[in-house]
Amino acid sequence: MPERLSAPVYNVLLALGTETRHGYAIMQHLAELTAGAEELLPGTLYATLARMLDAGLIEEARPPRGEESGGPPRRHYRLTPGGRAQAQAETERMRRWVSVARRVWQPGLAR
Amino acid sequence: MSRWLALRLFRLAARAFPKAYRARWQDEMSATFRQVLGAQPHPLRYALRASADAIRAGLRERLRAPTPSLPTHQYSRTHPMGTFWQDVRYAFRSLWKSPGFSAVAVLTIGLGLGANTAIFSVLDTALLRPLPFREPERLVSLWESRLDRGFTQTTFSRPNFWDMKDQQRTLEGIAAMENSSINLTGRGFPTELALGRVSANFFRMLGVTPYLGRTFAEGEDAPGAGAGGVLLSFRAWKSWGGADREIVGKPLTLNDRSYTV
Repeated sequence: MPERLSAPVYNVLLALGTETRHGYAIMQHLAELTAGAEELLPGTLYATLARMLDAGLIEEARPPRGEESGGPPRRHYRLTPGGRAQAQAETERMRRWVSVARRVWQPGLAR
Repeated sequence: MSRWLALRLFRLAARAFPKAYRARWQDEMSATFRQVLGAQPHPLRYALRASADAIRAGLRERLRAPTPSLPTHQYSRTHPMGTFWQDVRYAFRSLWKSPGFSAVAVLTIGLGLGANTAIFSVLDTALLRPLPFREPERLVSLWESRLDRGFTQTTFSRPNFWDMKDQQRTLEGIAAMENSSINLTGRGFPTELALGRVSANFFRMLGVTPYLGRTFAEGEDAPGAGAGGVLLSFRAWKSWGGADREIVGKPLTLNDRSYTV
């Protein structure tokens, strides 16, 4: 059984999706995706990125075209195939969980 | 100004992370923080949240960080105190090597202890410790009400106090006190002192006896009884009274009027 992912790790996986992004963009994109409901603060974000790099869930990548110039140089990240697999497994686990919850709380809506 | 302060605060909080982690991530983390801060309507509020988060994340990293210098195989497992002093020495060495983290930890513990002590002092004085008077549980405060003028709790007028004192049968006795201030003059630079005007029976009713001299005698507070005397608090006697044991009976000038100690 795969290890369950913590909320910050899952949030970073979601915010990266299929793109390559730097830390600030990850924070911004997560806020956009969840309409501000989920927030990553810099301390937690970089601790999470460090752990995810160690675990091989993400890797450093070249910045997308057009982002190289302007602003301070910074690292960009993208999901590894392992990270994508973990994200999908976690999403599937949550889907089953939601389905059970629906059966319990809203039997009419269960799917 | 607040952005500068916010950045300093965050940089200080980020010291909670292990040194090796900071070497790798500090610049990027600070740059991102600065960028987010630029878009915040309340930079200090955000800085406080982000700093608290950095301290939490940093301490978690420290707990997670491997400690290769810890020779676990050498530890004695037979004696319960066998590893105690090694642990203490290791703790001090770690703290010494990370002065930033130590400062944050000491500051946090200090603030916590200070707040606790302050709250307990208030609780102890206000609720736990009995008043330093005879039978404190029988003491009550009396107030007048002037509902026609909208005052539900106001002080007694002097004539009302005297009438109440003579005519009431409910309480064992009534004494009055009025807080104000007065200037000590005739001793170089005038000094403002906190003053309580009291009825003559005040100290007798509370069961308080003075360290030196006597309290006020019955009738000493009657109209026309003269300027009267003053009784110094212990602190006043020690400070500007010079802890003079012969002070009783000496004159004291308050608001240019002479009183007797």
